[in-house]
Amino acid sequence: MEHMDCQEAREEFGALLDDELTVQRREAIEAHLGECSLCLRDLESLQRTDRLYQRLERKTTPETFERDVYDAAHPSIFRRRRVKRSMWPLIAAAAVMAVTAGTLFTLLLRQPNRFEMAAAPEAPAPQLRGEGGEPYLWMPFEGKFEPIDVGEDASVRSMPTAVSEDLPSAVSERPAATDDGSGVPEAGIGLMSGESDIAMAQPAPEAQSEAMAEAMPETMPLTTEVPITFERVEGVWIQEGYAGEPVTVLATSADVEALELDQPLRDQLNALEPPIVFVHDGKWFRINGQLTMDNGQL
Amino acid sequence: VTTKLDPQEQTRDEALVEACLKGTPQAFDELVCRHKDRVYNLLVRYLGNEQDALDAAQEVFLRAYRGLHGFTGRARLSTWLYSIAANLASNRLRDGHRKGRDKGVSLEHLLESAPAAAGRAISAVTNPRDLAQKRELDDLLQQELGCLPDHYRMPFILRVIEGMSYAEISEVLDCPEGTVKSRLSEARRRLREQLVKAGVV
Repeated sequence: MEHMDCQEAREEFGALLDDELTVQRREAIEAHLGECSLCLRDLESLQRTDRLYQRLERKTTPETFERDVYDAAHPSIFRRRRVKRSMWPLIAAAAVMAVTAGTLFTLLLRQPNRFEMAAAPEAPAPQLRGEGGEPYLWMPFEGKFEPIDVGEDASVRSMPTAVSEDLPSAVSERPAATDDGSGVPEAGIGLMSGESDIAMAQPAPEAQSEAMAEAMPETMPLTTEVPITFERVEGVWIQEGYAGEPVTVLATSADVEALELDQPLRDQLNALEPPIVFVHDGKWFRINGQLTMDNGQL
Repeated sequence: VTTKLDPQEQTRDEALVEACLKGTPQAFDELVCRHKDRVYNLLVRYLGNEQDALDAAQEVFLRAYRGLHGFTGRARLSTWLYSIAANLASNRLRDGHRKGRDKGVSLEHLLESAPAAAGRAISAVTNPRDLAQKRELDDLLQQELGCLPDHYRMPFILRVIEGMSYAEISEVLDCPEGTVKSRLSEARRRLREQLVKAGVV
């Protein structure tokens, strides 16, 4: 049998672990290992390293992945869809966050039980399924949007989102105001029905308002909703009470980054991140979630 | 963990490619569906963050879609996709397209900047049952992986995480098997040293 010294054996440890050795070489190494405890320990530590990496969580793509690839592969549709799918959540996020900053959000933070109002069991969020129950991989384009030049920077290709049909009135319902002096009149929340409401609630930069007016037609042609669960969204963890609830995500902190906002407004929004804004059962919510390692909760 | 495709899977891939070329759009859809998670996982591990990986994964399939006519079937589809992914990812790192998170940091850096987190990362090993600790261990492993030079990191991911053979890796990276073997060997030793320092091995 072939004889091996330590150095020669150790050079082959990788191939041994990978099962890429001839029988003769493997036997020679095994013979050496039988005599050399140092080499055996060396091999074992390499093997443990491998095992740690083999146990790493496997990452999976978001549900919208195929559709995003499809969009990108079909430029004419892509251009139009991009406008819709990128601008809508951004606009929605900007409007909601601008108006709810310090109001709805504060309210929700102070009264976390309010979230439960959203979990109406008789009205689950629509699933992205065809009539035969098969999942839709692509959504056909049926909209009437004219392309608007939003520039490359304003798009968020990986947005795991879509916007529901009833978006314009979505915010009109909200958790009941508390009487603890958070002090914002109802009118301030009832936005999304048009530019003027937004302007009334929060003076947005003029360019922003124009973009909104242009991007918000009377009817919303895109009606897809992507169900997600509350376990983990884009690396942000959400409150425990919502595990498994289907919601429609409208924006994440990445969207705020992508918005070309005036700096003061941007700062204001960033101060709230990482936000997740979503609609559930006709209501708008945002969650400020950060994983704390101690207990895995907010 | 081996994720090699069996011959049946390969036959299915070939049929799908043929269908795509004949103009059946659903076929590409299925191809994406079959391979997206492996490609994505590879990119997450190589690039070190999910946002960049997602962006790159979409680009991989977009390039595959556009280049499908040039795919002659001499390689397996999965190998071809991986080689697109490997090239793209390495170019992105080289050109500094990387955005989002910083490069991985060593435990030494972590100890200086956030001693509590480093302590938890180490203690995670003694009590891996806790999910949060498992996550921290994963983060630590990812960070250490990120400290490896790019040309060691990719073979390591392809072999140890994705379970590919030397022959396949050699094809994906377009280099001799001997090079694959020596890079893997060096990658393992470096990672092992780092993990020993971190108290994980």
